[in-house]
Amino acid sequence: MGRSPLQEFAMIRVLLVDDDQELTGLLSEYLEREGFEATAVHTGEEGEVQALSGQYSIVVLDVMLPRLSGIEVLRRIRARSQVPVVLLTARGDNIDRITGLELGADDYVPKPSSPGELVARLRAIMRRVQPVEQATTEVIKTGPLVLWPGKRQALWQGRELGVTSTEFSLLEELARSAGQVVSKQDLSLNALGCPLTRYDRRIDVHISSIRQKLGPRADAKAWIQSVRGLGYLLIAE
Amino acid sequence: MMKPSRLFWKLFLAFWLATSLTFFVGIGIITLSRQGPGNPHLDTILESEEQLLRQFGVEAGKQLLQVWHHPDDEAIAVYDSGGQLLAGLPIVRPVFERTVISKEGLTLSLRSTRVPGNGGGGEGGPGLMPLLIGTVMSALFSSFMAFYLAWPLAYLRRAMSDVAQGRFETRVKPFMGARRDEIVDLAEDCDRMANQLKLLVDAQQHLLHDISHELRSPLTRMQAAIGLLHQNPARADMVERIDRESQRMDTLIEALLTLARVQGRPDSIARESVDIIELLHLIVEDAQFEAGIKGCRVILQGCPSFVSRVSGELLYRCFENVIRNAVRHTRADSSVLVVAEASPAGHCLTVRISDQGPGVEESRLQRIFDPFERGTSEAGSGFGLGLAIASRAVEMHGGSIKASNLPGGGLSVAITLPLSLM
Repeated sequence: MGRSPLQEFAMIRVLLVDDDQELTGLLSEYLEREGFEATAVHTGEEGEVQALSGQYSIVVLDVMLPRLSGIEVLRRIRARSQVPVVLLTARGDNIDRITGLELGADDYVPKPSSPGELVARLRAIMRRVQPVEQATTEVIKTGPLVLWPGKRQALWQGRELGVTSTEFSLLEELARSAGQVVSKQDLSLNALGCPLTRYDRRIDVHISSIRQKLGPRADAKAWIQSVRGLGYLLIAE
Repeated sequence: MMKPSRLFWKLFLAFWLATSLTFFVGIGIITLSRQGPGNPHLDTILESEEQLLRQFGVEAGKQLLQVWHHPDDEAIAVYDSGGQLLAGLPIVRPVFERTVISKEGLTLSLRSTRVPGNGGGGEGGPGLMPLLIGTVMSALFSSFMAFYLAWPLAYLRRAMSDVAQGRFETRVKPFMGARRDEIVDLAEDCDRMANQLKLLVDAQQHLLHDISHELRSPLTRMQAAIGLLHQNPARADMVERIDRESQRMDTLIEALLTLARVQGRPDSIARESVDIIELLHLIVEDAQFEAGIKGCRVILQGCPSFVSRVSGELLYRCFENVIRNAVRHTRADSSVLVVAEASPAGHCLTVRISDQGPGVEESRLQRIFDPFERGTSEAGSGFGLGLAIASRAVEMHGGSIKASNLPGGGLSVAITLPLSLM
């Protein structure tokens, strides 16, 4: 997902995909006052086309869309793009939430919740995605992994690693302290931009997705080890 | 394999006792008939002879042996110490011999052709062996019968407890094999019940899911409006917005409660004598106002009156929902036709409500009576509960409701209600 220099200075463009037109009207208005630029579409098909158009910095996707469900739209988007996606899920519906994260959603906001909550999540993701200027040349190397946090690019065993921006941030946190245990609380604060809540499965789901992408080690162990009660550790060699 | 149940033991004991008793009684009768009084057994005679000799002397012994009608192969004789025959017939080669001191003090020798107590020469009394075989056979037979009757019940019981714990996918029939009897019928009924329960519970789950979604939508919009109000307290229009959303939630909850009421048993409704035609007049009059805004008319045609014992309130809601639905979907400047016809014998009333709107896709015709099922074109026109309530209300009155597309376009809903006099 290449980003032209112009977009660095442009407003954050948000794509809202929700069949509730009254709600998207209200949310657009709210987001615009918060300094975002919001566009709303009301069907999954349109959402998919718009999300893949490359015009948006972030997509807010409702899970409960009629006909083409939000989960299916996410699957189709992820097949071709790593654009950040925030899911709007029904409060209490854990299955949608976990499936969404497994499919590569960056975060979720339960419905109903205040628009302030949504804005906070959007900002947290955009902070991670938008590179800090002085760090563009920094390179992190550990074992077969090379990361360029500035370009948000990852090489794994010499090949491009397709990770979402959230997964990249988690991997970056682990790589910075490769060989040491990083606590879930630190991962949540530094990579997701919010503190860990009770029964929060987000970190675990993202980590398991990264694990799958890295594949097993020669000794059949996973590259990212979970240390019970402490956190996660990236094996450094 | 399952542990034998209490029922198994009860059946087993009952069968075993019954068969064993029959067997023993049979054996007893046969034995008694063999020992007829005219032919006392050699053992008995031998014993009596010995008693007589001891207590009454040789003469008494002699008399007994004279009156005994002995079989040809059996004989008893009494000899003295010198080998002289004193009583009975001479026995050349005695098989059994016993020394007896008689009353007179003589040492006598009691001889017989057979050893007493040693069977009846192959056909005498019954031995221990047949008794044992009979008992074992009856035990085998009883345990088979008891097992055959008791084992399906164990499966049935397990299935029932599965159902009680909410595992409705449990099935008993496959365990019954090729068996065909009332127990298998019971198993089939049990499977059917589990399936019905599953459908019911699934439908309820689905409904609950839909309800929470429907309640969530106005709530989310309310939250967004509140957010905007926080951003800019001058936005007074947001207060109106919040007001509207809260009213929408109230309407939805009202409709849900009605739906819950019509989910009850048909005999739970309070019936009263109602003229349904008069009821239709009232509803059409009300709907006329709403239709007028669109430039439409609602026309009522039909029989003069149809009085039946029904729940006036539920039927009012039912017809109101269907007629208002028709008014909502009919084209501008068109008319909604309500035709009420009683059957020739007056046993039932059919009310047809037809609009001149776009109709419904054939595949969705049956589903429009499901809760929260609504047209895709009309956004925000209702919750999709009206027709569901109407359908359930009609069913509670023992009637039927059907939707069909009219050849010239538009939807027609036919409601048939039976005449009820009680």
